[in-house]
Amino acid sequence: MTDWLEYPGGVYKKKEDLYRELKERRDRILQMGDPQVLERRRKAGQLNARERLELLFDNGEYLEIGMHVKHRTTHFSMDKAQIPAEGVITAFGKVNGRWVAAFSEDFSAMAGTFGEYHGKKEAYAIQFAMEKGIPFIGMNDSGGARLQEGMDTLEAYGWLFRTQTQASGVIPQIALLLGPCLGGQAYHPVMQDFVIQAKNVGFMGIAGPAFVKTQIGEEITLEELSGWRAHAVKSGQTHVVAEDEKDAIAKAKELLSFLPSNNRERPPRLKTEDPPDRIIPELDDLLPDEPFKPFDMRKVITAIVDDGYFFEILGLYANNLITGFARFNGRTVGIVANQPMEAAGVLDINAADKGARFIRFCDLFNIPLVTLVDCPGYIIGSRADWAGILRHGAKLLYAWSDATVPLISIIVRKSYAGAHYGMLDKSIGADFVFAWPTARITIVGADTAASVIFAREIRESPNPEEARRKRIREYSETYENPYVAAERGYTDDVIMPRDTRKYINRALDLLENKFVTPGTCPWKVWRKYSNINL
Amino acid sequence: MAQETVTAPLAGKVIKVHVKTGDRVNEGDEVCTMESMKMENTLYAPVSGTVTEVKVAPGQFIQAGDVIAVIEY
Repeated sequence: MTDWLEYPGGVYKKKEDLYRELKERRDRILQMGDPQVLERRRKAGQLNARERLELLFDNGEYLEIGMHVKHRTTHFSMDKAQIPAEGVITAFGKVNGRWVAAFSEDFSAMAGTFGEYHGKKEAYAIQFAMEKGIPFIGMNDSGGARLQEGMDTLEAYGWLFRTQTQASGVIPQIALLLGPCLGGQAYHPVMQDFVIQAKNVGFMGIAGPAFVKTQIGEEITLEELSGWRAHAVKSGQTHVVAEDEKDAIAKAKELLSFLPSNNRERPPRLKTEDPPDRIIPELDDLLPDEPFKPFDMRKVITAIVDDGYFFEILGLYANNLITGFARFNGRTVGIVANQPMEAAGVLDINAADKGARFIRFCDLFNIPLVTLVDCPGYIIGSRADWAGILRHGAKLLYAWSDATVPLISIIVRKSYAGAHYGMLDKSIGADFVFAWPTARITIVGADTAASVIFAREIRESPNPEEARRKRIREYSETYENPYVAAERGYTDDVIMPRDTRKYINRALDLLENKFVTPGTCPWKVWRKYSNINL
Repeated sequence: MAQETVTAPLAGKVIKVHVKTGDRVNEGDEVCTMESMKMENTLYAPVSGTVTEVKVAPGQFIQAGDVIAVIEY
């Protein structure tokens, strides 16, 4: 404490005292919260909230704002509570040379609980990032709502959700789960573009195990209810799993490298040594001769993209569809591919949901899309129909129809029925469709077609089995190939598998300046947005 | 001990079961091959552990969501 000096108009302090006061306040905040919590975490090999920011930002440098922000509740001893930085550090810094906004919740400061001003700081960081056109990263590690603040806490969640929704589609938003994030607060990460969850420490859920037990009598561990398997494998809400906190931060930086800073920019284009017209002879041998045998579509992806490098999104969920980022000749591209090794590569509800949100993210952020198609169709049967496969499957049709980024489809093998547009074809907006000679592009498989068209003939034939086989063969020879579509111009060309990378790169070069706005395209009339089936 | 199940992603016919009760499996090991949507489809162990139950046999028709095997880990 320093002495106030008097002058006739009031009191003042010496500069050196004022400067010391700043240093004391700052030091106290920088020491963060409860030393025991900090020590316990350190011993467990965890990073604290500030170390995480240092790891995220280039050279560990960041500009902090709002470090002095403080709650205003006095009830329940809150007037005496010391909560450095209000339990969340909001900061700006550079990641790989580009500005990024972030917050990092501090579990040592009153368990990182979310109160009115904690929430206000978070919402402000997002709003600031949106206005300045820079990505936002949230590092979640919080004991949940600060109940002492009552209604003030509750209201702050609304500000956060509304702000992040308004920023959605303007700037990329990435959530890191580096600690608990339970309760309604968990809508915050889920409503961002991508969730990265650290194993063993990151937990997310609408309610934790204690609440679940008292309210509905379910006994379940935190790990099982809210851990990485729960969301990366079961719920499809964790897009990327990280081994630990450091890995989560590294993966966030890697993800950012594919993305533009905002929706007015293009993604950064990197230099690559990988020749754009590289021929890949081994692709000619990849597919089995028998159309019922699966193959690994990941091998096609890694063969054709720059340096075989593929950053998968939701890689453990709805694996019948593969989504992720890669580069072609240094350009970021979103890949959507069927995986015949999983559930026959069928499009089901979860795959449609996964694919559609990925497509829309890419479209929002000027990232071209490439599909690799081998799909028997949308899933059928009472189970699928009653679960609403039509309305969920429609998400893909909406996403493609609305998309204005460069759209390229490579039909590798089967492209039947609704899945023909579900996986992007000319009629729903593709700029280019290239088919391999192994492609089978038609409305339905030959045996189904034959059994419908020739039902009576087969039934009345003295040898129904032979009649059926003959008609299946006839239908297959007529339609199950890439050439009928190519003759009509629905497929631009039939290409050898080995040339796939070359054709995609040429197409991307040509589509570099594709630009669709209400001004350039008459069907893009003004509207708020399309009424996508949700 | 926690349990994970291997379930049929689609309705179809079991062609081959690669494990039996008591087998140790590693994550990613083949558990069952089935045929559905005119495709052969192999299902893999979601976790490393011990197979405590196998509920299907070759030739059997199964529905989407049916449990094929239980793995304890």
